[in-house]
Amino acid sequence: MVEFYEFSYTLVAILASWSMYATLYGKPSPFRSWAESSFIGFTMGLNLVVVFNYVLRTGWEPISRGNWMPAVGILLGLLMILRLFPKYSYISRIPIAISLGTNLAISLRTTIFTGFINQIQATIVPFWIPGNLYQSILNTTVSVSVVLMLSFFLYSTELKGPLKYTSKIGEYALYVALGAVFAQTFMGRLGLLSGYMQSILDPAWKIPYTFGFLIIVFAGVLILDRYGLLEKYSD
Amino acid sequence: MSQGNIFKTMATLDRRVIYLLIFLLVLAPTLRPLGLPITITQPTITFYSYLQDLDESDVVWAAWETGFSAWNELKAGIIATYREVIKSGAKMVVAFGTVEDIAVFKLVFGDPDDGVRGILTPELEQYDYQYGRDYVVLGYVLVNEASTSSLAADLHAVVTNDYKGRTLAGTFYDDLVNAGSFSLIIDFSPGMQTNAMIRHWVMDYGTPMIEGAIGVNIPSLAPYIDTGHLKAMLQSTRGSAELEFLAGVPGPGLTSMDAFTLVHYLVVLFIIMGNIGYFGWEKNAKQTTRTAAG
Amino acid sequence: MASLLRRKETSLILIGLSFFIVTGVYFFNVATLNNFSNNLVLMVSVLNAMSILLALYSQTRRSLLLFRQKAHGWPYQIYLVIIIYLMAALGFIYGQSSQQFMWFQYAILNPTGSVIYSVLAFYMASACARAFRARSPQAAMLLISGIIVLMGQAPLTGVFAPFLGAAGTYLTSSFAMAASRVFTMSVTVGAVVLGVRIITGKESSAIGFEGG
Repeated sequence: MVEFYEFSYTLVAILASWSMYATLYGKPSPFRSWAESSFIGFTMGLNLVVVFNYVLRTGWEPISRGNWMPAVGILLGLLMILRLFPKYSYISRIPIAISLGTNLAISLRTTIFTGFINQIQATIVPFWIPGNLYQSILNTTVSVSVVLMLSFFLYSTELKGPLKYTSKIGEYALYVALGAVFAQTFMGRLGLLSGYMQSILDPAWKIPYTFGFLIIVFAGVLILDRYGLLEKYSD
Repeated sequence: MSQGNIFKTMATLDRRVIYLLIFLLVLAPTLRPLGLPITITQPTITFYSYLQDLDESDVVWAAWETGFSAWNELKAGIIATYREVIKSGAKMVVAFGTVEDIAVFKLVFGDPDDGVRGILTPELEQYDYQYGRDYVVLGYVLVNEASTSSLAADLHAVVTNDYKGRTLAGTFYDDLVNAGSFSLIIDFSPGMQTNAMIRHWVMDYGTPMIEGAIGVNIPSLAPYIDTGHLKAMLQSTRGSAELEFLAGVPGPGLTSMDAFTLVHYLVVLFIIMGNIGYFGWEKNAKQTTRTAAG
Repeated sequence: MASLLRRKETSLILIGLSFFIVTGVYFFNVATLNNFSNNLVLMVSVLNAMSILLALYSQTRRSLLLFRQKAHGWPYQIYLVIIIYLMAALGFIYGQSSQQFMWFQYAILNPTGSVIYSVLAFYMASACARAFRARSPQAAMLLISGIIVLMGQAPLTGVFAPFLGAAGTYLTSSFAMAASRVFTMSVTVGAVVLGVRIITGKESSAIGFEGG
């Protein structure tokens, strides 16, 4: 026996999901407009509440422990809103400047290592590993490909002589890489699709409602399209 | 039907036919699983080995960053992973990276205070894994890189209460200092604070990190496996299904593998068919032009 | 005071000060500096989180403007504004982990958030059938590589054609990884260069001043 709480939100969820899938029809529809507006509105409301609680916990509560500095962040955050008022927007440069400087310091110090030096270190690997042919081929491919692809991205110098050939090979290597990346991206999207389809078909009590709402939504879209009302009632 | 028309049809297949086929191949195996076999890949084996090495003396930093958008892709992996963590008896500190993760967490762990049962509530009861003693939930604290880096440096300076405002004093959280206090970081994320945790938790404190990545992020996170910043990566739904198989608890991941297989083959067929159609149609058009001119 | 705040130099000094306070702790082992730096980072995390207010104001203003102009689709704008504040009110009244607040997340955010991204699977499949053409050697290589990896990713392939699975793994572990590494390194260099330019005042558009 399903609780009313789960039953009610499941029904609305199924309706909302088919309304969103109405995008596939190729034309705007009121179902899709409703689903999109709901998504934006509820997300923003949720963000407001959760972020407010975060600001309260992290910015305001430390005052009770004698630490007033995080609370200054609340004041600076409010000053940032002045960006929207041309007469006072110059004040918003203070919080933006402090935020920029701090974030640069936080990220630059470590990103140089994780995103550059360590990546170079990982590229300079032995081409031949005795007893491990696959790893040897892999190491060679990665190291050579990185260099060739980098030569393809040289825009500040004329690509002539050896550079012309390395950049060409690098370009081909890049296209091979992009094909692989496309396949991995598709796998992710398919995983999301199949995962969500499961959630509206399992357990079995959801099945009639899933197909019922599918018929309702797409019949609705077809009827509205037949009478030329899709555009009129969409956003 | 003339040869030219067949090629034209293959090259310009109606979008709606494509969408319908995809829907059918996803819906049908979900309703009636075929039970097609799967193979296990090395990345999942490595990921599983880190979970198997956990024991009661370990403390895990569990970063939940999926939100709803990546939940359906990674849910099988999340459920299988945290089942292993519960079984191992390792302590767990849960932190959220998106505003929706409170709701996602409740789906999995339930809420004992409200009497809400989650997917893993049977395991929580079976292994007597209790809130406060074995796991605590900090809430939405992985807001941005600044907060992630603050947490890495000093947990107690940032968070002293849990996500419901209750004090964490008196729990195992008292013994934790910074990122170095943890044995393992488990991160399921569409890429929210993953790079920040690699930079500030892994690089500065050497805490090992394993990642459950969505398909889109696999290429961008793979270099970090190579550099050793990430120890293992669970690759999207496929990796999640493999983890379920290794753990011996079939779930939504394995169920979706039939659809995975069929749709992948369909898409390959589309590519081949589309190109055969295109080149056949183009060749026919050229021949027709030559014939007309000649 | 206003003239002082309007000057570009004031913003640059603030950027520089913040930057050196946070990085200075790695050069000077002074407890006070350490403490101040940690608090500064915490303060900035709160400040960054409050940018939600900008989004809220912009969205509310835009929706009300479209409503006043009775632009096409204005009922949806009013609906949007109402549910923003309704959802926020529910959260503030009942609490962010309450059942009432969760209901809307399970009913609306879960399905719409999932479908928005999963619809791309259909578009990608459609592109495969209708747009991906091997018109050039580069495009052919992209398609062949894509086909091999797609076949390798299908779980069943490893059972009847293990070589395809291995080939797919090789392509993702070598070429795709190399490309990602190149992008990572390039983005990092770009980020570092941009950061240095901002700190030295050469990139003042970041702080709202025109020109270099």
